[in-house]
Amino acid sequence: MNRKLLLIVFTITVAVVSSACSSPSPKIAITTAPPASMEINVSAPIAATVTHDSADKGVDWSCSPAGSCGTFNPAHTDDGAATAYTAPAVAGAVTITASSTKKSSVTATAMVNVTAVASASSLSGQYAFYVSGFDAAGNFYCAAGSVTLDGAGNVTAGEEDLNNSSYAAAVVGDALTGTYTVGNDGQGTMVLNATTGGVADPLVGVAGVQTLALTVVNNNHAIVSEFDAAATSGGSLDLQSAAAITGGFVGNFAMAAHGYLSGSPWAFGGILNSTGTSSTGTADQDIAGTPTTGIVTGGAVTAPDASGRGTFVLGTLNFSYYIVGAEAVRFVETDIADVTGGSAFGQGSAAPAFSAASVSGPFVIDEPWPSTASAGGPVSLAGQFHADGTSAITGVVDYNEAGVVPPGPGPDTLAANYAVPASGYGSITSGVVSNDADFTTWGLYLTDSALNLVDPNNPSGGGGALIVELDANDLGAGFLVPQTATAGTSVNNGVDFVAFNNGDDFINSVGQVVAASGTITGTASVNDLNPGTPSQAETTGVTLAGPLTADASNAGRYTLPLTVGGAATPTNLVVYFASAGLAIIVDVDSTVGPPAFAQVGSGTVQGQQ
Amino acid sequence: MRNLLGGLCLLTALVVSPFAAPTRAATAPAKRVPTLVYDASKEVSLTGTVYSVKNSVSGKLAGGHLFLSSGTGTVDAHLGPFALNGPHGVRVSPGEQVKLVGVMTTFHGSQVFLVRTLEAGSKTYAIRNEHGFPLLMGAQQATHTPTLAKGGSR
Repeated sequence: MNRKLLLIVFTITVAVVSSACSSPSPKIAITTAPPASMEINVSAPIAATVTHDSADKGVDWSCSPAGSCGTFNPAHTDDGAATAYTAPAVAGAVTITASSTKKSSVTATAMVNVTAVASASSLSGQYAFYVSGFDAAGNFYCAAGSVTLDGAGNVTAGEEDLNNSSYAAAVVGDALTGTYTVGNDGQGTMVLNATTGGVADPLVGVAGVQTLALTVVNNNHAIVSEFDAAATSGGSLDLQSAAAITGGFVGNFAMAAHGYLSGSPWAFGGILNSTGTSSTGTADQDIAGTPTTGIVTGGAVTAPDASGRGTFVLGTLNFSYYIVGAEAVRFVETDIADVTGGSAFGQGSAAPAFSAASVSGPFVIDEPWPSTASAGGPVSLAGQFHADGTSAITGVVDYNEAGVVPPGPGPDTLAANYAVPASGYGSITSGVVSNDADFTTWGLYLTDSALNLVDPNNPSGGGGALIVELDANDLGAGFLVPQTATAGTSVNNGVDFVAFNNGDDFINSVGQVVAASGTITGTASVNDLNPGTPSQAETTGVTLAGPLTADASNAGRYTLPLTVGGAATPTNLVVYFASAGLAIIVDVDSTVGPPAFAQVGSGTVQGQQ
Repeated sequence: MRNLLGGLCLLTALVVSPFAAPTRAATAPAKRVPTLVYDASKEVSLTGTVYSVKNSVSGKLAGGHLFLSSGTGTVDAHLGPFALNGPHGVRVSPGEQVKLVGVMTTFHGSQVFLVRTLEAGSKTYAIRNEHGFPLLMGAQQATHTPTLAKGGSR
């Protein structure tokens, strides 16, 4: 064999051997695909399998558009192992790519349509709102109204009543127009132009322009806060039922309100039967530490207008009301110097037949600031308890009386008696809070068990009761709701928070937080007003972050040291879950340091749907 | 200045109204751990010279504080959450002589004077009511007799 032929044979042999020894090109397939549609911030497992990957180098995950397509944890997986894909915070189309680590050019892709929690179109129709808080001079105020929203960012009509303890007369029936925005996470603003007689009303907002920060919880419900230089406050915006407006303010209701009577703190509540033209009822009140029960009350009621607005009288006190639904009404007092606001919820029957058994099982209690303590000032309380269906309540509470909080570790215990007559006009008495003798007595006013007291259009909720504290050293208004879950399930949540800190600031905020892997992260619009130096007046995008840690001894109770705006010291919160979509917050920052930072505050976390 | 004390008399009349007859007795609190209570039977008056006015003081009761030099030493006078607020709020300056009516109590081991009224110059400010609850400084007096009771209360 000559040399030339030998070389040819050798070359062919090498080529054949080389071909036989090299592995085939890997192939990749996404075996656990992401959902075709995912809400922002929500996570889902995804997995891919690589074939012809004898070294088992696995899968690398990436997505586009880069920087706004979400994250993977981990970004590299073994063959067939799942990664957690978390959708981005902005809506849009995302392409997820699984690449063979062995050969990056070998890929498989999946498309995800990332959807917003809400948009301007989420708010379409006629909505009632109410807020209460303080103006920039420290005067308490309440407002209630109705706005018609076109789903495209315009407030096409509306009406508002507003009372402020410093006003010579309440604002009554101002006309409203304006605009609103809603971002991908449900946060937005609503700018209301209030006019009386066709002229801007200087008593509303800043020269007639009232700005609300809002977070959409669902298409029927948003949490709101006045967000301008005039005032800071918190409240709710809820879709109104046209049928209920037509039906009028009629039926049996539980009611509760809190505010100031000629400058003194005041809370009242009770039950009311309204025929639509008049009402009768039984009420309790606490005026600055003087509780009175069994007050026979009532008076004239006027029919609602197209905005759902009417008026009613209790004794000599005058109120404007706005109908949300047949069993949900917001109201604000319109008397000079007497400023209160509250809600009335239906009792579900023309002939109520409540009993102690109507309050049975686990409940969460919320008595938010601006409830008031003797001597010290602001107070808030939240907790959870079990009612035995007969007469006894046992549970735990956290509270803050101007910086006095449970000494811990953990919450204080609560024991009390309760009674519920058929009318639903009940009471909680002989309360014993283990380290605070001030909380002893509450009026208890039962509502329809089909109602949701936080989100009145929500068909789940289980009812509960409105409450008014009737103590010598504390007073306030709030509610009880059944505790149906001890943990939340919603990734995207609206959050509201109201606080008074150290004496410097009145604060309200609404925002949106993501709950995932035991942590809370998000942002809020904070309005932090006088008398101190405002540090976060009308500030959007204030960051929130902190670990949510379960209390092993009290299922449903959590601690949340929340870092607000990157502050060096977190705000210390306790969270009680009432349901998978509702948690109650109480701030337990105490005068006892370090740090010695007293902040009395309260709020809610509401799962966005 | 608005007559806040007059309003308090009005409220006192309200709570003894025959229209507000209780149908169930409010339970007497079982005092176990004394918290911050305003006991009007222990009210005293004191005079002193203001040396500091603070909207807030870390480690002390939330709200405004007035620090005085008096004949018996220094006094931490608590004004509550509203007293220094807005155009109707307390206006006092260091060096000014003031007269306070209120209750001396102890909070977290330190003495604090819970101020009910404050006289400075020709002005008298109502800071708390007789139960110790802080008053809104800007509240006007009602022109009516406020009551929940049906048929009114006098």
